[in-house]
Amino acid sequence: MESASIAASHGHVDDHHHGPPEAHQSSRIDPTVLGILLFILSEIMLFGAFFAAYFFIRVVAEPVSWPPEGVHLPVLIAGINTAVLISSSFTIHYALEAIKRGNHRGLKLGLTLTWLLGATFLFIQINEYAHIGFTPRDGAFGSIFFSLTGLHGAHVFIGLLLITFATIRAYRGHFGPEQKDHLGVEVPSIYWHFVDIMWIIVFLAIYII
Amino acid sequence: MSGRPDEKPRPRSGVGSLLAGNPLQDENVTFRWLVAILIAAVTVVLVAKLISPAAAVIWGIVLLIAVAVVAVRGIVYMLGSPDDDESEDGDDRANEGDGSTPGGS
Repeated sequence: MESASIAASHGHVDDHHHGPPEAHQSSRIDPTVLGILLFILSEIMLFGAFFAAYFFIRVVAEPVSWPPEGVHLPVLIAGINTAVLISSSFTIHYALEAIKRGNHRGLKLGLTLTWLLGATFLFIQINEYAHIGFTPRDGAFGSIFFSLTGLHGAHVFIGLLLITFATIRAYRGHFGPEQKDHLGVEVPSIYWHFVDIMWIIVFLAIYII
Repeated sequence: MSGRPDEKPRPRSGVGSLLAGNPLQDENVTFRWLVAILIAAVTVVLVAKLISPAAAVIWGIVLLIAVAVVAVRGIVYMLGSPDDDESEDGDDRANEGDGSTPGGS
């Protein structure tokens, strides 16, 4: 009734409106951006909970020796793996810049390289799990190590799925230079950068500090 | 009208200017965030190797706080304040009263 009276006051009544009135929204933020913001914040809180557990175990529960006696983390391999993952952020950035200039070949090349680098990262991580010499059942360190790196690995896997869809669409010629025509690349790219940023922090916490 | 997004002062100093923009909408801004965090991570690694892991932890916490300040300022700017919304609602009601088109769209 209220919307109808307001519309009438402006001289045009929408006779075809059905369903509930449009949801109220802030005048300063787009609902889509708000949704992504809440998603990213929830992800940060999820990782934050795992980091809190990691540092609690490290500082409070097992402060004597870290990592525990007999545990040797493959820092060099993890460092190479980090370089592989960071490189994939540069390639997906290249892919997006290419399509902004209308370069479909660059888009396909960038997305394919990104997918290969992401898959390489996951392969190396799984290989590391197989040869690291301890399991999630071997004490608190084993549990939190596999939880934290596994949580990140799951995010990489989801990112790879998104990039797979984007790559298939790129090879079918779906994207274009206009922003609305390459959102299918831009959104996975933002997610992929977030995953990379999280890995940098995971790598520093577990392997370096 | 005061309180419009384009009239509100943006965080434009130091790292804030480098990371200005919305990383949730613009991949370029997200990529700049990644590069900045990558550089910060390299400094943490250097501190850990050259000084001590404890010093690296402290340096890492300082960097995290700096990043959090920039991020929170950006989010607060993006969301705006309830006062801005109320003032715009007030404008809408005023416009409805004189029969003109509602503002904000």
